[in-house]
This record gives sequence, structure tokens and C-alpha cells, in this order.
Amino acid sequence: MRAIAVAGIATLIVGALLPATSTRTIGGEGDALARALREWYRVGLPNTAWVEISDWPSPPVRDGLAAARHVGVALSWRHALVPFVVELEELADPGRGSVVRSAGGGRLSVSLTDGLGAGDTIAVSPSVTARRSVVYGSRVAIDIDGSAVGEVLHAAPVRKGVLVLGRVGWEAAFLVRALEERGWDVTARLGVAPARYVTQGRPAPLDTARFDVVFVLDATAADLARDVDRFVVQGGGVVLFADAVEGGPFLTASVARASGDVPASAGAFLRADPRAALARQALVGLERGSVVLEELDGAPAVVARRVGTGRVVQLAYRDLWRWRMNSEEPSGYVGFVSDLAAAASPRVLDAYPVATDYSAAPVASLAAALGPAQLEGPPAGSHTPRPWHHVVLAVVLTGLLVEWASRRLRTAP
Amino acid sequence: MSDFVFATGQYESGDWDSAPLVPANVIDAVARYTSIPVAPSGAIVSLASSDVLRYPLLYLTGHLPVRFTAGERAMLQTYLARGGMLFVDDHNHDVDGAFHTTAVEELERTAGPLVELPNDHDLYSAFFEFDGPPTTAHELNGWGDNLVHKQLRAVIRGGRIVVLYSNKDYSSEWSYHPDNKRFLSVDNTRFAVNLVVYALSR
Amino acid sequence: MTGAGAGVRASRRVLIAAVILGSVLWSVVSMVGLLDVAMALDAFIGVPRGVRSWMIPIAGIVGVGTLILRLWWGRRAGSVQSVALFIEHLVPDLRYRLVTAMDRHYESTPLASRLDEQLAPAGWERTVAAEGAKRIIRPLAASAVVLTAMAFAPSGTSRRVFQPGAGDALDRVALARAVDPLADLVVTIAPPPYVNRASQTFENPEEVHALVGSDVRVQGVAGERSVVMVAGAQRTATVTQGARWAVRFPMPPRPELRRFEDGQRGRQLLLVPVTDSAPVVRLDAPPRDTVLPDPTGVIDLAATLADDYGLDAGWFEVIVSTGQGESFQFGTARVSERPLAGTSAQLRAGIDLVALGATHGAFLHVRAVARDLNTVSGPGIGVSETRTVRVARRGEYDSIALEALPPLAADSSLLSQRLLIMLAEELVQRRPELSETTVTRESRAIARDQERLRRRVAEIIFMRLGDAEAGEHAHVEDTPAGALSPEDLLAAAGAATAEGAGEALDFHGDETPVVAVNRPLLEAYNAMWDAGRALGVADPEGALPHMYAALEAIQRARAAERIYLRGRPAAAVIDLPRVRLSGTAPTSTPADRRPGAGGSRARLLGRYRAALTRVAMGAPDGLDSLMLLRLAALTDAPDAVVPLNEAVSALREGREPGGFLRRALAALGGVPVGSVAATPWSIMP
Repeated sequence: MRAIAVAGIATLIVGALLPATSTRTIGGEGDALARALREWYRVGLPNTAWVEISDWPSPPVRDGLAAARHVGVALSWRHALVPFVVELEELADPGRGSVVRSAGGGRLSVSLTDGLGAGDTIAVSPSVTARRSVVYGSRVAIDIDGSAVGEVLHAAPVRKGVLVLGRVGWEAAFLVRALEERGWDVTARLGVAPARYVTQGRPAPLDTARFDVVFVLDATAADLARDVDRFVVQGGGVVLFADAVEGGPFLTASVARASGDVPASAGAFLRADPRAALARQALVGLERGSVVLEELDGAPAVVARRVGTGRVVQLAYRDLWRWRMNSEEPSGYVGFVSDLAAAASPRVLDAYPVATDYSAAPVASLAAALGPAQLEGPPAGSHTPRPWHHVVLAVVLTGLLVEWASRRLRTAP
Repeated sequence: MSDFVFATGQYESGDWDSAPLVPANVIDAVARYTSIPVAPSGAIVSLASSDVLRYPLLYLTGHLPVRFTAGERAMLQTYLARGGMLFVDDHNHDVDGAFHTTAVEELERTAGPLVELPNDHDLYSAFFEFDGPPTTAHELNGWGDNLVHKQLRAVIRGGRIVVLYSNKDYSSEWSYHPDNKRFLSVDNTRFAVNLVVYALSR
Repeated sequence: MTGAGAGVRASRRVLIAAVILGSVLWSVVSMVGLLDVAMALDAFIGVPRGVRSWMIPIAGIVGVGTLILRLWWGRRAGSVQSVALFIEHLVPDLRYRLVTAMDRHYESTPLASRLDEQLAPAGWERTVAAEGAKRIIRPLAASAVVLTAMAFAPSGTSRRVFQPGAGDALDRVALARAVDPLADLVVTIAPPPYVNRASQTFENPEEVHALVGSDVRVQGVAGERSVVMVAGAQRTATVTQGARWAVRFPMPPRPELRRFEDGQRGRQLLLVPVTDSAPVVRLDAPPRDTVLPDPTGVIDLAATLADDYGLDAGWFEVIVSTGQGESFQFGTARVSERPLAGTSAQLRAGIDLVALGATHGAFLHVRAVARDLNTVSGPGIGVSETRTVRVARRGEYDSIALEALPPLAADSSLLSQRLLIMLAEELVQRRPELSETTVTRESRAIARDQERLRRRVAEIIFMRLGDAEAGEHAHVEDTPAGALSPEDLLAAAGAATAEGAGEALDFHGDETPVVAVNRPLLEAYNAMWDAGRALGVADPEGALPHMYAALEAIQRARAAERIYLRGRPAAAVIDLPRVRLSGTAPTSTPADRRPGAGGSRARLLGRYRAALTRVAMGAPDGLDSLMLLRLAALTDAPDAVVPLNEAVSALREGREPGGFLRRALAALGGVPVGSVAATPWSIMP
């Protein structure tokens, strides 16, 4: 008996002296991780921890684990999650909404919830898929099967106006009507006689704080040539119509020169490429760094280039308004001029704010918070359950008690 | 940029060609006061043909009843839906006359209800300032209804005039050779400039 | 016959009567009982109308079946032996003596009489009668019970079972439940009287389609809370009569949403009006526009008319226009106006030109008109295409009518080509007799007249500064020097009219070639040029062939009568460089262009997007903006009204508005368009 008790006490002393190499393992279904974290805060942080992540952890849990790692807990973790990424882009064209892009390691169904409530559900697949959506509010929450995974920050688009400079005429009239129909905020200065203009809004001053894009329809805008050039260099966008470069471009920001005309092909408005029915200029002498955005019969029809921080888009088409008058479906012409404005305008987002709970790619953000994930299982021998200490203690005490009792009994007369 | 062409609409049922000098006068007025590139003579286009789509402003007048054929009506509806504008003037200036009764009926059937245009509409300050539609010398010449019409009528869609209807006989008022303008103390074709500038900017 | 036999036979009659009466009563019980069960089921859980309408036939079948079954079971009562056996069963003391007595074998044996003596005192008749009475009393009691139950059933329930029909949802008596006035809505539509159709009843419809002007009546079961009908901003109280509440209103001309609220819950009803379309009229005769040489004769008119609900009257409308220049006279006549009935008809008439007062140069515009019976939104008027019948002017078909205008004072001496030829021929003939100077002088005179005629033809071909209107003489000789080839002429005409040069001769279908160059007149012009030159050098013989050619070309040009010989010459050409900016500048600035394209719907979409942004940010005025927009949408975008309403009530009640808000956005056209790949230029270097 005494031998047992001595052995038991020795074991306890040794066990207490040995460093606490025990590693806590946490993980499991539902909010097991959250409970484990609360337990840590109650009884004390372990020295090392192994985290098994099988369910999507919410941002507070992720941040809790990251905080534990930050104060010195050696965290190793492994996960069974399927990584994916969801990105939201706001487009310049008010009629085109936002584009949601998604890609993932497997097949998932992800729900987005914006400021209006439940929104789209996207199927994430291994290849990048993009779809149109309408998103309101600044934060879009990502859910998988009802459990919140994170949020994507959605910068509300800041759209400034569009300025149209040109002469009163069919081109200007149809262009302004189409842009307004699409939702652009249009300001215009249309020349009708020398130094007399029909205006809409306030065309001056011409700077990037007030306008995103300037449409230059013809040489009526020549008196503002310097202002337009400055506007482009500072980041604005300019769309040049054919007449603006007729007889020599007056803007240094133009992309190409015109030499002669290419006649239109008759009866083409009903074809798949209705713009082939428009007369156009032959564009030559493209500046360095230009890009041909659209080609027709081997000749450039829409060209573009960067000037400073801004963009310039130039058209070879003449009398674009004839397309509107000759086609059944107005959306072709309206969509085209809107695309021109969108191509020239700068990105509509504000400066990208940094926030800690931004999580378009939850697994990636986990890795950023907790370090890279482990591939193998937890280290062997790390399972040292504490309860055996209690057993040993009980045995020792029982032995001592028995010995004392037997002694007493023996000594009793 | 292509020139602005003043087009006269030709319809089947009556004398569409009763005012052949009006196009020249309007073109002359536009050239006198503005820098809008304009074709030196007008065009004549049949209402039933798709050629109307090349001229987003169309002028119609006559003395005789106006009855659109099915083809003319369909083409006009397409034309107005795509952004065209129609200017119709009663050459009889007679509210009891068959041009007025039939033209109003046909226009309302084709385009929609004709409403009175308020005299402070943008049209009257589009280039020159007017207090309303300028009176013509022919309104009280003893023919027709002998009334001075205070307002023009219009079909308005999307805040824009698509059909402008006049009882004031501008067709007679502007039916003279533009060279004779030098004999007038006040140019009576200035309202035509307002009309053209309005059409080209709205 | 023995006494026993007589007794048995009497008993048999009693039993037969009991069986028949009992069967009848049992069939009544089964029928009525089944109906009672149906009514009870209906009162507790509600039986659909289809099942209820089969209840009475099923009850009938069950009743007949029961009757037959019970008669079949009681058939033994017809047989004497069976009755005797039955009596034996009832009175065991008889110990089969009765059966033996009734057995035919023993009928005339002494055993029969002995049995008869023994059976005489046994009084089984009373027992049998009692038994028979029992067989009647039970079904009688049962039928009393079921009939009483039926009599005491609430009238609504019995009406639902006996006369199932549309609208009886309101008759249903709700047991063990508080009455909910909005549980069932019954809508009765009475179309306008002119349509002559019966009214229809619908139970709990989501939306109602009816003619504009129909009388709509909505009813429900009255409860403690009163029901109010909400239409936009207007609230109308309902009228309670007895156990029902009701409200009546006419069908509005545009789609509307009506809500019925009782303070706790609400129900919606969408009213979708159907418009009575105007009649469709086709003019069959005359089949095309015509030109008549004389204002005499009768023109036949025929038309076919059709309408969707009913025609009221039809007629032909004729407008006769006469006059010219500044003064025109018009006369309108309605021909053959008569009342019509039914949904299609044919009209026939003839118009007498003399009676109408048509003269030479008159225009007749003829069309057929029909009126339908619509009394709600005014009678619908349908019209056909118009045919123009023209009576030719006097002298229109005269072969020398080249000039388009009546002769002007200054030009009354204009000679025709034919006369010029005659003069030239005479000169040639008399040349040997005349002196050189005379011939030269005469030839030059003819040349001058030829020149004038050529200039007149030139005015018709070209568009140039004209002198016709003001009566001035032509001042400057502006005609191009020399004869023109067709190509040069086309180019000149093309430049003058800003048309593409290649289109001038493009005729297709029935498009009029307005800017076309009339080739025969061009040939006449060139021939006249050559003739004039020859005459100018005193060579009339050389000029004659050209003059013949010119005359022949003019004859061929008659085919272009419609453009060039009717109406005035074409318009003038402006000398732009001379005129440009020569007017005095206006003193005022042109008015600003106000934005507003796309109309009210596009503006509504813009406002809605802004409101959505505010709602998403949680701003408190987001809800107010949506409510204002809902009012605007009633007129501008009625198909967005329902989702907007639901969104507003969801926001008010704290529910999820997202789905409704997005649906309203889609209804207003705000869903992003195009596929993702359709922005080709979103990526730029």
C-alpha cells in the first residue's frame, strides 16, 4: 500500500514538473470553435493549439483565433473547406449595373445579401464566371448554406457627369437623348451661331471633379481645345466623333488622323453588324500605344489610347444618328454610345478603404489570419488527456486512507 | 457632318405640294441667322417610303383633306417612335375646312392627342424670343376662318414635341421668294429658325 | 281455405306493407342522412363546390339503392310459406303446426282440419302486427331525426349543398371559429348593359378581368371588424347588410390595385380592365384611287364591318373638295347611314357625282365608318382606308398642256412646239421666195420662241431660281451652256438637291421618283437646244429634225404628268454663301435645353435607384421616397405598382423587402442589360 502511494505521489510530482507539452485540439461542427475560444478565455490560453476547421468560421471566430496567435499561442490548423473568391465590380454605365465574378475550388452555392436584403445566389464553379447584378449598399454579406462567411465591400459608384460639345444638329440631339435615356447625367454646349450656344446644365468649368467623359462632336469645341487636352491628361475621358478630326484634329489628345471616307454599304442596318451601314472615315496614322477597339472590313472603326491618366476613344463612323432612325430596336444605338462613354470614363470607384472584416475569399483570409494551413494531421502524442491525473490522485488517497485505517484497526484493541 | 435637309412630306390624298417655296424660305432663314450646315434646297419624300427616316424633321401642308393610307400611317408611327418630328400647317387656316378636321383626326389617330402648347414653351425661346406663335398676315385676310389662333397644338412624348400642328397658315406666310426679304421691315420667317433649332437640339 | 290459411294471408299482407313502407322510409333516411353528413362536413371543414354539386345525385342513387336493397331483403314477405315460418319463429308454441297446416301436401287431408282446430286459439296476428309496426317505427324515427336535422341546418349550409353555385363561399357557416370578414371574397362582375352578356361570379380571385365600365361588386361575410376598401389614397367604407358586407364600384379604365383591410389584415385585388376595341372596317369598293374624266356617273361603294361586341351603325363618308389657289370649298356627306346589329355587317351604296355637286377639278375622299355600341367610354368609331377619286380638270388631257401653271400675263405669247414646227416648215417652204435678211429675221424669231420654250422645260427639269411666282421675267441666263449629257444633268440635279447621284432613277414599288430626272423631257431639252442653234444661224431645214424629235419627246413625257404637269414647279435653290449669317443677330440667348429624354418612366427609374440607395444605407427617408414613388408609378408604370406596394408594406412591418424591391426594379426596366461579355471595351490598356 505504501509503495503504491509513494509511486502515485512521485508520478504526480513528475507530471507537475514536466512542461505542459499538451496541445489543445479544438474544432468540430457548428459553433464548436466559438465555444472553444470562449473556454480559452475562461481557463487560459494553451501554449500550442491544433485547430480543425470543418465549417465556415464567422469573422469574429477568425479574428479571435488570429488574436490568440498574435499573443503567442502556436496555432496549427487544417481545414476541409472549398476555397472560393467573389468579387464585385461597379461599371461606369448606369444601365449595366455591377458585375459579380466568382471562382472556386469545387462547386458551391453562395448567397449575397446587400443593403436591400437577400439578393442573388451564385453558383461558384472552378472556372471564373461573371454575371450581372444590381447591388445597393456598401457591404455585401456572403453566406454559404445560411452561415455567414464574410463580407465584400461594395464601393458605391460615384458617377459624375457627361459633357457634350458640338454643334446643334441631329448627331448632338440624338446623342444627348440616348445618354439621358440610359441614366447618364448630361451637360451640353451646342453651338448654333457664332458665340451663341444652346446649353444644358453648366458646361464650365471643364474639370475632372465635375465630369467623367467629354464628347467632342465637331470643331465647334475648338475654342476649348486646351481645356479638353488638360482634362484628358488629368484623368478624364474624351470621345471624339468623326467631324472633330475632319480637316486635321485640333486636339493633341486625338488618336488618329482621317484621310478620306469609306462609303457605307447599303441595306446593312438590319444585319448583325448595323454599323457597317454607316459611312465612315479612313483612319490612318494611329498614335503609338493606340488600341483598335473595333474593326470593320479590316479598317479601324473605333480606336483608343491613353493620354496621361485619361483615355481617348475616337470613332470613324459618320452620322451615327442614322442608325437610331433606321433600326427597330433602339437599344443598339443607345447601348453603343453608352459603351463609348463607359470605355472612356475612369473607374467609378472611390479610393478603396481597408477594413479588417473584408473577406471576398474566406479561405484566403483565414490563411492570412492564421498562417498557412497544415496538410497532415495533428502531431502524434499530443493527446494527453488530463483526467488520468485525477485517477492517480484518487488511488493515492485511497491507499493512504486504507493504510491509515488498517493501522488503526490493527492498533485497536 | 451631314447637312440639315428640310424635307416636305408627300402624302397621297391631297395637294401636299401647295407651298413649294416654303422650303427655300426656311433654308434661307436658317442660313441667315445660324451657322447650321444646311442643304441649299429641300427634299420631297413620300410618307409611305422608308426614305422619311433620313429626315428627322418633316413638313406637311395642303388645302385638301388629309387621309393617310395604312402604309403612310405605319411609316409615320415608326418615324415618330424613332425620334422624328412632324410640322403640319393648315394652308386653308380654316377650322371648318376639311384639311383641319381630317388632319387633326389622322394625327390623333397616328400619334396621340394634340394638346395646346403653352406660350412659354421652350420652342418660343429656342433661338429668338417670342411671346407665343407669331401672327401671320394671312390669318385675317378674309379667307378661311378669319380667326387669330393664340396657340399652336402639339403631341408631346417624353417632354419633347413630336408633332407640331399650326392653324396659322405659315405656309402662305412663308410662300415667297427669299430674295424679297429685303422689302420686309421685320423678317417673318424668324419663327422657322426657332422650329429648326428646337428640332436639332431636343 | 282454412282459418289458419286466411290468417297467414292476412299476416302476409301486413308484412308486405311493413316491408314496403320500411324500405321507403329507410331510403329517405339514407338520402337525407347523407345530405346531413355532407352539410355537417361542409360546416366544419368546407367541401369544394365540385363535390357538393354531386351530392344530390349521389344521395338519390344511395336512396334508390337502399330502397332496392331493403325490398330485396324483404322479398320473403311475399311467400306464404316464409310468412308461416316467420310466424313460427315469433310464436314458438306453435311447434311447426302452422307450417304443416300451410303445406300444400296436407291441404285437403284430415290433418289439416285437426291442425286448424288446434291453431284457432293461438293469436299470432297481434304478434305479427307488433313486429310489422316495429319494422316501421324504427325507420320512421330515424327519418324524423334526419329531417329535423336538415330542417334545423343553417340556411346557408343547406343552400350550399342543394344549390351549389359560384359565390356560395359566403354562405358557409363557420363553426367554432371567429368570423374573419376577409377569409372569403366573392366578386360579381356585371358587364355594361350594351354588351348583353350575363354577369359572372368569382370566388377569391387574385385578379379580375372585365370590360371597362362593368359593375364590380365585392362581398364578404360580416364580422366584428368593419372592412374598408383602399384605392390609392382613397378609402371607401363597405356597406353591411345582414350577414354580409359589400362594396360596389365601376371597373376603372386603367389597371388598379384595390386593398380590403379590416384593421388586422388585408387582401388585395388587382383590377385589369379589358377595353372594347373599335370596329374594324374594310373598304372593298372602289378598290383604288381613280381619276374620272367627267363629273357624271355613279360610283359604287362597298364595305365590310366587324366588331368584338356589337355594331351600332355604319355609313360612308364623302368629302367633296373644289376650288383652287386660296379658296377651296368643302362639302361633307354621309351616305347610306343605317343602324346595324350583330358583330359583322356589309354596307353597299352608290354615290351620284352630279347630286354631290362635283365639278371638274374636284376631289372626292371616300371612306366607310362604323360605330359600335360602347356606351361606357364613348362609342368606338372604326374607319377604313380612304380612296381618292379625282375628277379631271377641263383640258387636262389636251395634248398640248405642257405648262403646269395657268398662263401668266407675261408669257401669254408662249408658243407651243407644234406651232413652232408649223412656222419653221412654212419658212422652209417659202424660203425660195424670201430674201436672206427676211429668212434670217424670221428664223431668229422662231429661235427666240424655241428658246423660251426650252427654258420652260428647263425649269421643270432643274430646280433653280424661278421667276414664275412673282411674275418677274427671267433676268440672267443661267442655263448651262450647251446640250447636256444625261450624266452631267444628273450630277447637276444631284448637287442641287443634295441627294446621292445614283438614286435619281431609282424607282421601286409605288414610291414616287420625286427627284427623278424625266428622261424624255431631257431629250426634248437637248433637241430644242440643237434646234435653237440651227434656227439662230438661219438654217430652218437643219432645225426641223430636232424640232420633230423635241415634239416626240414631249409626247413621251406625258407619262410623268403626275409630278411635273400637275401642281407647280419644284422649289428654289438658295445661294448659301451669299446668305450665310447676313441677318441681324438676335438679342436674346437661346433657351437652355432641359433634360427629359425617355419620358416619365426613365425619370421614375432614376428616382427609384436613388431611393434604393437610401433604403440600402438604412436612411429613414428611404421609405418616404418609396411611398412617393408608388403614387407616381400608378400613372407612369402601373405594372410596378404591385411589387412596390408589397415592398412598402414589408418595410413597414419589418419584413424582408429585398425580393419585392428587386421585382419592382425589374418592372421599371432597371435590370442590367446585356450579357457580361457584351462590354467589349471594359478592359483597356
